[in-house]
Amino acid sequence: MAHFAAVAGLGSYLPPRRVTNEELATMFDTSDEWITTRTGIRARHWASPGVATGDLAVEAGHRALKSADLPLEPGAVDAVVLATTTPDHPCPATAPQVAARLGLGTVAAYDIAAVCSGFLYALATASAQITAGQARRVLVIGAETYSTILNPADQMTSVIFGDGAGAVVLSATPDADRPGVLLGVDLGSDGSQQNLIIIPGGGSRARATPGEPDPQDRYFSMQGKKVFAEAVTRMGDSTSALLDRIGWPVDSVDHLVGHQANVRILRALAQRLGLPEERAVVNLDRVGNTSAASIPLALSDAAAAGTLTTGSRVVLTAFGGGLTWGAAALTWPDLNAA
Amino acid sequence: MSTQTQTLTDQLLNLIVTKYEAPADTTAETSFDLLDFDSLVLVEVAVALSGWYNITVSHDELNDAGNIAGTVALLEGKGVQV
Repeated sequence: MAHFAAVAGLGSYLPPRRVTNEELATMFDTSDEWITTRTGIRARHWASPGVATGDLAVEAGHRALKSADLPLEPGAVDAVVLATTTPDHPCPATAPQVAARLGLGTVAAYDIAAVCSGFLYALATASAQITAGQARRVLVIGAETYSTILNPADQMTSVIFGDGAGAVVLSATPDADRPGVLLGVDLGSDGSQQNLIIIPGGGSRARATPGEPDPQDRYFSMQGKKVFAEAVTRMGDSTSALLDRIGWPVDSVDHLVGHQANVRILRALAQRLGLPEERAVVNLDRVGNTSAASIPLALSDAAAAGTLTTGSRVVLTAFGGGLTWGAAALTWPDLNAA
Repeated sequence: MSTQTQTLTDQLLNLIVTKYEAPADTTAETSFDLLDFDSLVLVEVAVALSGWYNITVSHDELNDAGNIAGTVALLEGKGVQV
């Protein structure tokens, strides 16, 4: 029997420390007005010292499992996939630790590294495991602690990024028409432009040597203007290609859940697609850019606000370092976000 | 000025006045530097023009073009016809 992968649970978690633009204005030569007009961001959450990505992932994963009415015990899911740019350690992956802490037993667990597109890459991989018959249920998490890799001398990135985690449970169903079924995914990359978004050190390109590494090499860096243009173009083209493939006219899309990087990117994306701007879901004003956690956090926020109603047509699209990008489509299921 | 050049000029002036708050008396020769744009506006304009005319144009090229007249010449050089 053919199986389809449907969203059956949704959860999210933000660390309690909320950092406003006004607070950042005491640390950098900036202002609430400057940050708001250029990004749309008013506040973000940063994890306290000692709190790592895995901690946020456990909280979001727990809530997604609760939303799907699944217990924290072996057999609840068959795999845990964690998208992150900020794993707890370079080695091993963070997902096995998260699975163990959630009490999920010895399930398959692995990380996905596609920076801000990571959640969509993870969703695609998890969906494929289900449609291939390798798994019945998969916990898919996007979690980040960008506050740990921000360069304190780089005002531009320091005001943009926040920490957080979001998760969904994908569940197998034989019913292709069930709300929540992933109807299609489009993914892409362009490694020739990897330097636009990069952490130079910490990998095999910069071999481990005795002594302290140069802290500058461990910080995240981004060429913002080029990234802006690429983000709009790639998310727009990926979304258009996906809509063509699944036969949805652009104006039939009820909600466009784009990667929450900058509200001006989301507006330009809607304009490029020919969608009214109000169909773009926006929560970055309260959470900033949370990279791989961005899409599930936006979904949780919109679901909790009642914006996403059962049966509405939802398109997800993201863009990130790599370069990577992607889009996915589903009709919204009947679920309670946790 | 050809009809094509005039039409393109009018389209671009309309874009920056209505969408990016350039002053109503902006002309094709007004330098972008005088329009009080923030650092992202030329990026947004470049993205919009790339989509409209199905070409690739960057904010660096718009910076170099300097004004709407220069931008029209740039776009015509890329084969844009209206």
